[in-house]
Amino acid sequence: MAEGTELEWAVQVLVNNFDKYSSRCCCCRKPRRISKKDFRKMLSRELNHMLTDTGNKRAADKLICDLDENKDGRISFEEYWTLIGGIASPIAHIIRQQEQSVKHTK
Amino acid sequence: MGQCNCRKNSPLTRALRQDCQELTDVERAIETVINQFHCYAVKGQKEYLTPNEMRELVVQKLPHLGKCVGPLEEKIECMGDPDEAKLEFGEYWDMMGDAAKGCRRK
Repeated sequence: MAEGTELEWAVQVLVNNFDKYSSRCCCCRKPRRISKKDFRKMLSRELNHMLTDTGNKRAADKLICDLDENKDGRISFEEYWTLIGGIASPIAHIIRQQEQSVKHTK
Repeated sequence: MGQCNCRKNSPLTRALRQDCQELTDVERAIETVINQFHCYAVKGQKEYLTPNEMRELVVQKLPHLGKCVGPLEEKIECMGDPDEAKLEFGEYWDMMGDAAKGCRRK
């Protein structure tokens, strides 16, 4: 994708990241998925700054359990996207709170 | 509005850079998606996008992927009363998920 915006770059990075850790099941026709083991590897390699404290890590574990809706132990692209959203959403909240507290103290 | 200069150094980046750690591409990508939401969510003070703000964001920031999000005006209509309608972060994230699926098909 040439000459994309910053936001398009960001979306593409998250897509590439899924492709990097996902693999095909025995049957090639099925869409790519990430195993739970590889998902954990991905979290610790790619999101190690965002998931620094144990609270976040525990939350991520819970998310992984909840997310694998069909209980096949593998995470689809949709499940992956929802999970990253589950990490992004509290971060967005923290950023807002921090900015508000800065405003109040000024 | 819309053309706001997104801050290169968000509170998150600043907080993380304190211990001299560079964010990974995936983390920078997540941060970018959050920042863009905050940049456009002016009326809702970063809590939500109005239909107009959402339109601006998609048109300006997703010139290549916008069509993957689906018919924009239809989406806006579904949101209901343009003065009351709000697109919260979670819904915005889902919308980016649609754009991401468009990326994958390319």
